[in-house]
Amino acid sequence: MEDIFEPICVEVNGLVYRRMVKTNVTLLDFIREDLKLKGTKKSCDNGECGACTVIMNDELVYSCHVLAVQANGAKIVTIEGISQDSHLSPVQEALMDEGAIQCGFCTPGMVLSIKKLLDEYPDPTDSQIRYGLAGNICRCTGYVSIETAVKKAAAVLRRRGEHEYN
Amino acid sequence: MNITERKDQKNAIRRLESLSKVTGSAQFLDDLEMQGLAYGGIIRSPYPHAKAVSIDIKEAAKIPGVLGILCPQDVPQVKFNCTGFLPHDALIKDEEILTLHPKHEGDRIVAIVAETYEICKRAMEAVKIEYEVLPAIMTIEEAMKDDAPLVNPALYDTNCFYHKIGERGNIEEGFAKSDFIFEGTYHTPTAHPIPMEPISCIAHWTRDNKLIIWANSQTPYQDRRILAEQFSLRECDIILRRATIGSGFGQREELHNQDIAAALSRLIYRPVKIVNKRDDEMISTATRHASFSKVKMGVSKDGKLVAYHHTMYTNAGAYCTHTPLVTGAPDRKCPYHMPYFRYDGIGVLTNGPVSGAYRGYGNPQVSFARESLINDLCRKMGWDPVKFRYDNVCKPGEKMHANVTPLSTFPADQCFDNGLRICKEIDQKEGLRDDEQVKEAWGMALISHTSSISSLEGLISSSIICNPDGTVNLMSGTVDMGQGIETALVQIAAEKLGIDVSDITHADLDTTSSPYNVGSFSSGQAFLAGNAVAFACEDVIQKIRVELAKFYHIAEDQVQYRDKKFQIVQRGRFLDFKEAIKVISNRCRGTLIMGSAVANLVDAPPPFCLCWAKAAFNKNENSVKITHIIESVDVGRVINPLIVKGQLEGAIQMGVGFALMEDLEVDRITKKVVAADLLNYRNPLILDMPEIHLFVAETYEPFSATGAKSVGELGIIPVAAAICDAVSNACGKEIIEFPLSRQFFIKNNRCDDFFEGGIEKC
Repeated sequence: MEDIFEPICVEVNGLVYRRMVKTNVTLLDFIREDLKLKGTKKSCDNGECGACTVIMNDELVYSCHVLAVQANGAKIVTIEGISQDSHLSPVQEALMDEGAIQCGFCTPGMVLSIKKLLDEYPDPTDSQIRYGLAGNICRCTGYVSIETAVKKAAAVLRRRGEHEYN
Repeated sequence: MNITERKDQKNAIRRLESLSKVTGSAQFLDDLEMQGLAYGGIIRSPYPHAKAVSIDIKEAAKIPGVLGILCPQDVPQVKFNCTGFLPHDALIKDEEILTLHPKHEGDRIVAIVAETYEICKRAMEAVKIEYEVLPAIMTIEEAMKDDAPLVNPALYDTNCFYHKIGERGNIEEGFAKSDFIFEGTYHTPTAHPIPMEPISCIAHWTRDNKLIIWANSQTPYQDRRILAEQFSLRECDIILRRATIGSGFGQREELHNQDIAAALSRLIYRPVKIVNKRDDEMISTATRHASFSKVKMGVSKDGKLVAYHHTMYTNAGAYCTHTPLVTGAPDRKCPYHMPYFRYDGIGVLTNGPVSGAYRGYGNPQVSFARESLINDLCRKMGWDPVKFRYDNVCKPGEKMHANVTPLSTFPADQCFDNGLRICKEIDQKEGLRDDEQVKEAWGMALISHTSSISSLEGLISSSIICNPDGTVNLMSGTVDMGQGIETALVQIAAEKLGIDVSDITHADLDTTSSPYNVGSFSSGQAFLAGNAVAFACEDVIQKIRVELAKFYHIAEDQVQYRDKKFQIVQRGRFLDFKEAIKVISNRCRGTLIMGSAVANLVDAPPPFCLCWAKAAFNKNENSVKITHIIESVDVGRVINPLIVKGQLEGAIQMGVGFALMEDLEVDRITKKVVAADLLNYRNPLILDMPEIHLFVAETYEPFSATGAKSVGELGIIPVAAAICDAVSNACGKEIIEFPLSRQFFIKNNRCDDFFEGGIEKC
């Protein structure tokens, strides 16, 4: 089978990348192998587990279920883009403080799902948290500490938002 | 105490490695890159039992970028047992690195290494293997039939290849003395641990014949021993290094693909990476043994357990692996005291899913059967199952079956009272529904486990290097696969030496510099490695005393260590650890302090766990929803409340999945695993989780240098039994097997308009 290449231009974490990619390469492999952003994890490679979750054009996507060519022109946020200065995001701080990180393999995807959830719902109900994180499998924590961390991070972000508003 | 309140305590610190994990900078195995890295792949048998009649690699070898192909005759013809345990006679060596006679789906036949993963995949598709498909026996029942074919006739003359008997008194005499006798048979299914990170390794065979391995293994020192046997190397020639591990749950307590990667690397003297695909993972890696139990119990009319006979058959899969240990260990984990006891553990070979170690190590299966029969007999006798358990559970001073010393701690009153208190609080808040449509009910179970390897075959060492500025490097040889043991060991050392956690660096595991550690399994690291670290700290303190005495020209007994301070008695001086090290190590005639210790196992004090589950059964829908799980546990002293809480909550999640929905389904006709992905093999999502309530008793285990017992596996063991009991009580039918998704519609906690209304309606 002949390999077909196409040019793409994507913005990842604020940086613009222009690359030739094979048309059968997934966004996940593109991010990990071409851009060497290895924080995005590959676990099932089949859209089942959520470990490879990234934000593409303000939507959550499983990057293993998107072809790199489909991301042409898109704006993408990966885990490496969550805390670009020396400060971590309140979501990351809360996850650590609540002991919500065990093996850490689902964590990058989980962080992005939480970020997206809190962007839309600054004060999420229990059901909204469950809905927002239903696409991310964690095998270590029983999700309890993750749920607590989401609420804690939401409170910090709300306070910060009020502060900025005033 | 309520464990969530303990979060404010001083020892509830963040995990040391969590910062790298939460920012995505932690390097898991597949994230490692190195010069000359090549990619390996394994062609696995598509049939559960077959013979590879011919293998044609000509086309594959022609593909540009293919670096090497290994067929069964090209690898060392050494039989081995992959189990990561100290060498043991019962662990029969029956596996081959590559085989022409695959005995389970996913058995390894051909290995390929190529420049890229894509080329490797193409080459794997180009290899032509002709199979003669042979009849496969998949279940315990099939394998035990009189006319059943032998799974491995070359090595075993029967499929029931292992039988362990544990006895106390004459069991028949015990039944004769009982007033009532109850019997039951119970099945538990195969369960897959599905760690989120696939099994991966990199092997680099260097030109000077050293073998360097990075693998997500829980037992690197055992891998080293097995690899040395396979490749006729010495242990000093094999170097295993740490990578961040994306969980293990026992599954990685064995050698997986490291040997293939090593053999491939030897062809090209370049590092070779092998990462399992998810379907390889589901089909060909270790699962929890399916089991079939026959249980018989004799009780007296005043509610005392007199005699208990448990026969458990386990589905071992095609090879010995862990089966003798998994099948043989559970009798040492019975929480009750009774005069007459007999346990028969029988391992049965089949062509079914590969079995191995998985959180609980035989105890979840045995406990489900035992606790279910107790619940059943209490229902039939009209007894209170809580009181029955309280009356019969081992109390401090009594000797549990097969334990060396009598039980030293178990605060039964604390655990029972608080568990019941939480049940009551939930019912006061929500009520207990019982109407036309829905009936809610509670169920319970009680189990005990072990603080380390229950057969007491443990060997762990630890060493400490004190830097001249008074900071410390700790080497424990432990593997942290995500449970937080490195953090806990650092906390132990900090406490013993009276320094801050930030003054200690836990050295990354490297078998050339880290001291021997039997491996991270049996929930044993906090207890056994904790002991080794505590002893090494004592060694350090003793050496400091000697050196201080030399420095001050006084007798050794004039330097005392009290309240984390070295007291120079005559001079009335007090030095803390850092000051003492600076005195000793910052002079040209000074010295450096290094401490070390080896810890063996004298006993492994059992932790206990009581579990309650609340189930709602909907009569019209035939549906079941689990709303609450309570665990009330005794784990000894808590080293870090966040870790203990996380271990228990995670274990409950696995228990919920095990009981309700996890089903490694095998097709009846093709005998292939159908649930080879994470949609069909359903791990509980956040929506599927009931509310979790924990109580952790406040105790101190005197047998442990740190006061701790263990927590890792404990939480999963009683969950299935408690859930099935709750469902039995709610629906009125006895439950003798699970996952319950085969009998009921399993409801979860999603909001009513979940699909229609979307998140806005929630």
